[in-house]
Order: sequence, then structure tokens, then C-alpha cells
Amino acid sequence: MTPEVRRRLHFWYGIFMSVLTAVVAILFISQAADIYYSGHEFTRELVAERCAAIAAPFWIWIAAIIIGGAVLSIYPLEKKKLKRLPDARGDVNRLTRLTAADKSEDSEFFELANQVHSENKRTRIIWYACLLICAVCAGIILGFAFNFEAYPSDPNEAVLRLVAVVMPCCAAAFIICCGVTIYDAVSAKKILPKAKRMLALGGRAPKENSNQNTAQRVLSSPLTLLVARVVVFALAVAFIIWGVLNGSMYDVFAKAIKICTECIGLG
Amino acid sequence: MKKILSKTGSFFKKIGLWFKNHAPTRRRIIQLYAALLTNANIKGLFTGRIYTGGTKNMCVPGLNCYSCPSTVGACPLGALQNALASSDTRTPVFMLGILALFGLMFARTICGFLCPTGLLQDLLYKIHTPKLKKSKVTRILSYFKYVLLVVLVIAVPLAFMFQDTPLPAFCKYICPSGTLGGAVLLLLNPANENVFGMLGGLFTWKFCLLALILLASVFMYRPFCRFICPLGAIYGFFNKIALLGVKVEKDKCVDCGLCVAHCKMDIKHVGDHECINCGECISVCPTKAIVWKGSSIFVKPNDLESENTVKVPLTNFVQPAPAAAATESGTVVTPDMADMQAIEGTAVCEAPSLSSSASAAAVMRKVPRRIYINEKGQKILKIVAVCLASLLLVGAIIYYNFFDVSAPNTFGVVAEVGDELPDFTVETYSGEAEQFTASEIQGKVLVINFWYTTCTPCLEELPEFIEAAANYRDSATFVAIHDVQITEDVTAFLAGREGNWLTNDIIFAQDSMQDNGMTVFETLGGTDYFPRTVIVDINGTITVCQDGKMDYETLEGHILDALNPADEEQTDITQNN
Repeated sequence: MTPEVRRRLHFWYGIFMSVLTAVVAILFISQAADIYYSGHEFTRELVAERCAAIAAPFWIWIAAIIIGGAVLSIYPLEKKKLKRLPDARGDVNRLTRLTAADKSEDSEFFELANQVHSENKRTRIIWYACLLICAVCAGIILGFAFNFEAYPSDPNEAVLRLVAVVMPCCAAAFIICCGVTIYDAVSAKKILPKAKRMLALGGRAPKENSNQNTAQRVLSSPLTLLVARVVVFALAVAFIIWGVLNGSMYDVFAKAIKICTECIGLG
Repeated sequence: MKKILSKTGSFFKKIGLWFKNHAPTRRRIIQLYAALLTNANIKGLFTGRIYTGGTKNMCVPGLNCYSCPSTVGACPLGALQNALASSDTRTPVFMLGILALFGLMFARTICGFLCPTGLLQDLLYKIHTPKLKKSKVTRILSYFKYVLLVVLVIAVPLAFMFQDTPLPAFCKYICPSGTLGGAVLLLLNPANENVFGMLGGLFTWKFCLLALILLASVFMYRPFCRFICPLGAIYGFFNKIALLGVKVEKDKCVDCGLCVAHCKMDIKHVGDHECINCGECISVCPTKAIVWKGSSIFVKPNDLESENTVKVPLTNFVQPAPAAAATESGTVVTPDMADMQAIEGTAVCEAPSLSSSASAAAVMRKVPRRIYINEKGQKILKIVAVCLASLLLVGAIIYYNFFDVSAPNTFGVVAEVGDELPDFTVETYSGEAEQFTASEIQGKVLVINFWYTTCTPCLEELPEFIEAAANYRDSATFVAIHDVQITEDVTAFLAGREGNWLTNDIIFAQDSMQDNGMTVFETLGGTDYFPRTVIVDINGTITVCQDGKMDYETLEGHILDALNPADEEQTDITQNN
């Protein structure tokens, strides 16, 4: 089989499986929703009847997975060569770090350095603003979630109220973060050629300054890691022993041996 | 003939090669092993009953619902929520200790190797479809699981703790493991036919959510682990300090970025809080900079390390190391640590030759030999590990399926709807007498409710039962029988309820073993589901056996039916499915 034919086989099989998988999932979801919204009670017979109605596409899906999987493994595609993920901001930061900074006599270098610096500063301000908005959203979520007195007694109502507050805050934070990420990428792409030109003009710095400050050195040292591990281990063991003695281990057991129906979604 | 033979031979060779190339990886074998070990109670799938033995005191490391009939341990996430929900009576230190221990030992290696939910997603991802690749957007989305951790796992259970109603919100509204491993597997068993009557809006929502997560798993890698799982969020905090996992050796790393490009999780660098330590990046690193933590004991030291075992720091890249001072024993020593702070790095180099004219050196110290397990030792270690693991798995399966004594007694006669109520006696927490005997109730309806203190729907319906008990005081007796709790806790729990439940019209009692070798709960047909309500009419005939919550209107209807049992032909016998 030629590579082109294999590529087409993989492509069309992928499309076919995508559609079939989505159809099977939608069928299951629609049957469950239909039983509930039609007002019928869930019974074994009714569920079996509804499952029988969608059995054919389900078994076709299973067969397609098995047969298609076997065929595609016999005729695999060539593995694509791995490439570094595009990261313009990372490249700019790295190039800026590598560039020698002492070329103040070169006016073009000086101008490029100013432009890169001001663009970086602008991006940093935007990121701080994004961080502030995320912090505000987080504060709203925490304030609402931990305002225990305001919780209604009905759990469903409580969760719905939480969703009504948490989801918009999350959505806002998500949109802001996505927007700033896109801006950062665009801005980095704009100044990447300038950073490259700076490196060409200024040359490489004699030695990359890898000296860490004291705090970084302490945090990354093996001794800190060892101390952290020992402390966590000691705390874990102490808590477990305390838990056995104060009966909280028994609480785990008591909960795990009886089925609380609503806790697993039987309701 | 020769041609046919050679063609057949080459065909089988191709088949063999195909199997070799598509054999399960070590990681997949470990995932399957862990899934089987944590679900060793295979007989539960056939009986439809969950395991209730001693290992349920312990949590399995991954997300595996306790209500799955085959699971032999508790779920850490569910146990944490329940522990927080009960934190007014007991500090939830046991669960915090367990999570800290798992985090320290494995961190998110659990996600990559031990979690059955992760295994299911991995298998679904293998279905050949176009895949949604990771991006900066998915990286941002991956922080959503921290929101779920704070809101549903911590805040909501704590909030409802103050309302004396335990509510494991993540389990109830989101967790797909509970829906698939618990609800669906239990429903598939014909022995649990009565469970269908409990299904409603909550099950519909959870089932749809499960279907969406499974659908998403086909098109993107581990969507639940990346965006939803609070347990992964907790373990992610321990990734840096965990004993097991992958790490990058900085001196070998050239920052090519291929590890991040190959990884399907939303990592920024290998080993961060999103890394599930699956180890797939190890094979793509061109400089072999990514290794398993602790794997240096399997790496053969070079000649210098094996002889003098010194590490000589370089002062700079050009000048040779300072001549070492000869000691009386003839060993070579290294410059003091104080000098090394200004030095860029250390490297093994030739031990400098001893020179009698060498100038006095700085203060020196000796570096110990590195531990190394040779190839023979590694082979032995591998064989021992495989043997022990196999023994453990086989032993677990044999024990849980053939020797487990915790299985409920299914040999006694179980009363059903239409049967006469068997007599029983239980110790009471409230009421006038110290004991309650069923046969003493004559000419009145008897409502028996089975509950326990950490059961949310039980605690939601009991106030309605209390109201009904007050309204039908003269014609009905209500008894609420508690299961699995030490006596003192239940008394304190009941006294602490709003309105002091010890003083109302319901008789609270403690279940116990009866003469028939079963508890009252088992005698009246109870399996694993709570709450359960049994209603007995004025003639002593069981008319209702219902699993699941019962609202006031339904309860009242059943009481009125039981108060007026018609002729045998006209009796409206109600059984929940």
C-alpha cells in the first residue's frame, strides 16, 4: 500500500469513527434524557428496551474499533518528526538573555533594545492586570463558596446557586487569560525579529549569568528537598496514627461499606 | 512446496513482529495490574454486592468509587469529602495523612500508572479519530480542576457540615467513577432490580456527564484528568517532592523542547504539577536528560567514579583543577565546599597526579562512592519484583473471592412484601423502653427506616418521617434503625440535631444480629442501599419495601394504605420495583 493510500485510509477511517462515536454517545444521552423528561419511571424493562433500540449502532461502533484498529496497525502511518512547540515569547526571552548588553554605542542596537524593552514592559503590565482580574474572580468565588451562612438547605439549590456565581467568574477569567495569551503571542512574534537583530548586532554575552540568588539556591538545593520530604512524611505518619486513634479511620470504613444512593448519583 | 513453506514462515514472522511491536508497554501492564488489584473482589460483579471487609479502612490511591462492587478499598476523594463533612465531630486527620503519604510517595505517578479512571481514558484515546491537541487554551483550562477542588470538595461539604447534612458534592454531582463503577455496574446486575426505582434527574445528569467525558476521551487525551479531577489537583502539589516520578538532569538538558512537544498533558516543563509522570518523554529526549528519580542506582558509574570515587570541581572551563595535596593514606581529596560556590559546576575529571612540589592546597574533603546495582542484580531485582507482584495479585483475588468472611449472610430467609413481619429486638437510643420488639406492636402500622449518620438522603428524609410520626402518633409506630456506628456517637449525633431527635416521636434504635444469624436490615431484604423503608400494615404484613429517599406525600400515602388494608384480592401491595 503506498503512503498516500495509507494516509487517505487513516484520514477517512478517522472521520468515520469520529462521526460514529459522536452518534453513539448522542444516542445514549438522548435515550436517558428521553426517559427522564417523558415522565416514565426508570425500570429494568424500559431501560433494556431503550438499549435494544440503540444496540445496532453500538455494536457497529465496537466492530469498527476492532477491525479498523487491526487494519490500521498493519498499515501504520509514518511517525511525524517531533518539533519544538512554537513559543515566540520563550524565544524572545532566551534571545534577550543571551545578548550582550554593553553595546550602547551602536544606535541601532540601542533603538532595538528600547523597543524590545518597552514591548516587554507593556506585556508585563497586561499580565499583571490579568492576574489582578483573576484574583478578583477567585476572591468572588471564595467569598461566595465559603459564606456558609448563606447556603440554602436544599443541596441542589445550593449547587445551582454556586454554579450561577462560579461559572461566570471562571468564564471571565478564562476569556481574559486567553485574550492576554493571544496578545502575548502576537506581541512576541512582532519583536522576535528585533531580538534576533539585537543578538546579531550585540553578540553573545560572554557567560550566561546563571548565578541564582540565595532564595532560589536554597529552594532548589537537595537539602531543602530532603527537609521537605522528611517533614511531609513525619506529618503524614503522625496524622495517620492520630486518625486511627481518634476514629476518623473508622469513618472512612463506615462510609465505604454502605451505599449512600444519592452520593453515587442514584437519585 | 518450498515456496509455500517459506511464504508461510515469513507470514508468521510478520505476525510475530506485529505482536512484538504492539505488545502492551510496561506502563500499560502496571495500569492493568493496579486496576485488577484494587478491584480484586470480582465476585461482587456477579452478586451485585459491594465488599464490606477490613481493607475498606484503607484508600486506594486512584479514583475508584467505593460503591463499585469489585473495589476493595475506599476512594480517597470521597473519603476526604466525607471526612470534611464530619469535621465538626472529628478532625479529618486520617484522610489528610493518607493523601500526604500518597502524594509524597507517588504524587501524580498515581495518575499515570495506578488510576483506573486514567486507564479507561487512555484506552478510549487509542480509538483512531482526529485528536484535539493541547494548546495554551487547554493549559488555562487545566486550572479549572482547582476551582472544583476548592468549591465542590472543600467548601460545599464544610458548608453542609454546619447544617448537619453530609454532602460529598463532587461525588454526588460530577464523579464519573461513581456513575460508571458504582451506579451502572450495580444496575447491570439483575439482583439490583429494585435500584431502578431510585433513578431520576440526578442519575440522568450524571449519566449524560459520564457519556460526555467518555466521548471527550476519544478526541482528546485524558480530559477528566486534565480539566476536572480534584484528586489530580491535590497530587500535583506533591510532584516536586515525590519520591517517584520523572526528573530532568539540568546538566544534560539542552532545552530543545521535544519533551514538552511530545507530552500530551498541559505541562510547561517535565515534572511540573500537570505532569503525570508517565515517562513517555524519556524516549524522545535526545540527550537522555530525563530519567526516573532514583534510577541512578542502575546506571553504571564511569571508571573514575568506581576507583577513587572523587568529584573534582572545575574552577573554570580552561584552567585545570588545582593540584591535590597528598595525604598520608594516598587518597585524593577535593576542594572545600566554600570554594565551590563560585564554581560553575562539577564534573568528574582525571585525579590529578600527586606532586611533591605541589603548593599547599585548600581544605579538602572526601566524596563517598555512589550505590550501583549491576546488571545481574537488576535482573534478580526484576524477577523478585514480578514474582512478588504476581503473588500479591493472585493472593488478593483468591482471598477476596474465596476466603472473604465479611460477605453478608445470604443464607437466611429474607422477608419480602406480602410476608408476615419476622420478629426482631433492637436496643433503642430513645423512647421509653431500652429495647424495641416488633411483636409488641399490635393493631398499628409499623414504619421501619434504616439509616446511618453520614448518609445524606437519610438525614434529608428523617425530618419528614419525624413530622409523619407526630401526625400519626396514635395509629403508627415509627422506628429508625441505625447501621454500623458505635453507640455513643449516634446518641450524641441525635442529641445534636435540631430539635433533639432523641425526644421526638420516632424510636431510634441500633441494628444488631438476630437469632436467625442476620441483622434486621438483612432480614428485611436490605442489601447495600440506604435509606431503606419498610412499612408493615395493621395485620403485620409487609406492604412496602423501598430503597432510596421517600418524601412525605409518598410516606403518607403508604401509611394510609397500611391503615386500611383491603381484602386479599384488593390489597394494594407496593414494592419498589
